[in-house]
Amino acid sequence: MNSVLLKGVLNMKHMWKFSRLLFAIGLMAMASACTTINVDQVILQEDIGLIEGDSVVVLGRHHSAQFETEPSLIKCLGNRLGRGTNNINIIPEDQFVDQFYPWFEARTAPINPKKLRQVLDQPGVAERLKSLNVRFFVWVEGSTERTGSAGSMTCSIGPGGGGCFGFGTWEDTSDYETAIWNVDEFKEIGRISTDAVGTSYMPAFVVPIPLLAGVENDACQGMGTQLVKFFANESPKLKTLK
Amino acid sequence: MFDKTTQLIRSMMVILVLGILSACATSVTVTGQVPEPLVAKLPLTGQIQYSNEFTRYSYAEKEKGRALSNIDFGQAQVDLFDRIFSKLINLIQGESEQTADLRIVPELLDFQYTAPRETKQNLYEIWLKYRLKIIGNDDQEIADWVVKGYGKTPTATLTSPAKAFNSATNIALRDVGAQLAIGFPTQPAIEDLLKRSGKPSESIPETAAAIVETATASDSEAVDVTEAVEAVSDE
Repeated sequence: MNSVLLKGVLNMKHMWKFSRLLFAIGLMAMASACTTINVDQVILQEDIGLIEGDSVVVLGRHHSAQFETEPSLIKCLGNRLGRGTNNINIIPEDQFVDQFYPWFEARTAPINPKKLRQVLDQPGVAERLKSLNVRFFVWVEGSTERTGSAGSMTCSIGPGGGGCFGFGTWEDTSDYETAIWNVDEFKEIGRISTDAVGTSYMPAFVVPIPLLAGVENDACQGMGTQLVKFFANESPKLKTLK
Repeated sequence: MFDKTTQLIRSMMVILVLGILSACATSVTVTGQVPEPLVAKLPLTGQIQYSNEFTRYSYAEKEKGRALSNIDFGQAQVDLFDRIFSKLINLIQGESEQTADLRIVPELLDFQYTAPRETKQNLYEIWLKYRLKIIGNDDQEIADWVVKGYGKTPTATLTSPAKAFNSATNIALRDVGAQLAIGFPTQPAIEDLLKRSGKPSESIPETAAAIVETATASDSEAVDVTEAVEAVSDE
């Protein structure tokens, strides 16, 4: 009886130690698997003249062969802007590009507001833009890249069971440049630069524990929050160029 | 104990087979649709003449070890040309007694692709090169036009190579369609036809030509993809 009790106590002690170890690793990693975000905004026009019912289109730049602005980021930004504003309509990128095909393809999209005038000169384009009430374009250029990785992990499986042991870490970096155009006036009215760096961890003690820093998502939230403030004209602490 | 071992071995075999299958070359039939272009219709009638080879085009990879074994987009490219030209001109489909102002004969000159495992980039890329011969109603060739298309798709979790190749090919076809829709009215032979027939076009050639110039200046060309793939394999 005493030996059974003793075995039970020892098992509980081991379980308690193991749980504390896992908890400590979890806390450490949660504290460190974070993203550092830096958002800069330049306002080129103070009063953007936003009217209820105006439409905004968030578009990604895809003209470079070297990088591709992730469609997932564009979608995330559109959702963030839609959630943060009550009075404007956000048109999804794929819907807009299809409706205005072939004028906003990777190869043909206007690179600056002056080129936009050439596109609007084409028959049917200005009318369709007006029917959708599109007054602002938000162009996003950039990407999230893996900039470092380290560590190793070994997984094995046998008759008695299996598991993984090791530790892996990797760093992702986001760099995005967002330009806001006023369609009616053919000019750029604001610019937002977003840099984000995050490190993810994967300790493995029998079971791998992925602790991921969602760098692209965090960059989206940072950029999206700034865009919401821009369209709400809430930017008292930001640089202003006149 | 024996049952557990057998179960474990079976699970390992399934994992092994799945792993082998995932490394195999992919076969794709391209599906998708290019949207209707927002362009002015030219006051011209025309027909598109497709060869059997064009309609049933299927690229079969001859080199071993590449990511794609076969891609079939004959129907997809026919749909592209039909959709673009049915908006650009009054397209005569099938047999008709009506005299067409011009005939368009498309030909696929080149198809190239790369996959992430070949280039170490996280992109699936497709390059297309078409030749369009435009023949007048006197059966004389009035234009010979080469159009290139480029499409790319980044890799994504839970996206199969087949889906990625399908997406990249659709983007390349869209690219070709965009150049056809914008560049066709600015072709000197077409402008000449319109002037001779006394029928003005609604599109504004000067600004469309400026957009086309910018577009072709940003061409991304696969000069020699095979060399690039071999170079990466040697590293």
